[in-house]
Amino acid sequence: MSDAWVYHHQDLGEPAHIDGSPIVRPVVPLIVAEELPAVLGVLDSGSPISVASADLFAFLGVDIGADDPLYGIPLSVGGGFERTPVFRVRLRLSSPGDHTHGVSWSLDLGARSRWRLPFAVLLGQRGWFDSFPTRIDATTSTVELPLGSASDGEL
Amino acid sequence: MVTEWSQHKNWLGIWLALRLAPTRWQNQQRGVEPNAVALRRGSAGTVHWVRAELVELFRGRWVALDDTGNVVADSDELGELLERLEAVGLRANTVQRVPSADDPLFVGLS
Repeated sequence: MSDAWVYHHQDLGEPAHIDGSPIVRPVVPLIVAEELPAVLGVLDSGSPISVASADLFAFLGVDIGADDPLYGIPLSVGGGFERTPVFRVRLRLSSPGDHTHGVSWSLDLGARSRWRLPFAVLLGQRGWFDSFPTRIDATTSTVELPLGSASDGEL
Repeated sequence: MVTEWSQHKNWLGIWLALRLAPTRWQNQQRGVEPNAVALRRGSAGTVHWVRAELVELFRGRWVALDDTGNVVADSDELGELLERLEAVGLRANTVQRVPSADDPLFVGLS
């Protein structure tokens, strides 16, 4: 039995590199609600925060128009800057190969409107890397989460 | 010379028809018409990504995928797609957006 959860990088259909090789992303499957399919979270250790499509928040129990955010951060949207509200939400990371098994954790997540990325959630330093010690290996195109490593939940 | 090129064109047409026909037939069998909500139920299991041969068909769309990577529903907007899945009780495996061919490459937030 493996002592880590391992996720393989994925080609999400983005136009290929100039040399023809596919662009692959470090992706993990996330459950926002029990009856819904997994959405994709991309790990980005260079991002100080985590953000997601604003469309997800209603399914996370957040009314963006009515609920008070924890705080706001300025992010560029559609060529301009927009204050992005940040809410405390709970997501579930699916184990590799099985949506019925996973680990839930709480994180502060920015709600970004007009989202056009191929994944629904960008997981950065605050929200992911401060909860899950993570090894991203570009030589094998894998993400590895050691078992027992999560600071919140039971990985 | 004109006759030879004409023959080449005929062969090219036949080759293209043979090349494209199976793909169209396979898509019809799979029920992967854009905008369609096919009432096929997926089950929890391995995460699947959009199949390479379907990428061009769904560029710029949010798609819900079944356990084999086939598209079972699609929409312009993520929220709309999730609402439709919830409303009809359609269980899919994974949701993703197929990037448009001219989408800028994402290299980080700004």
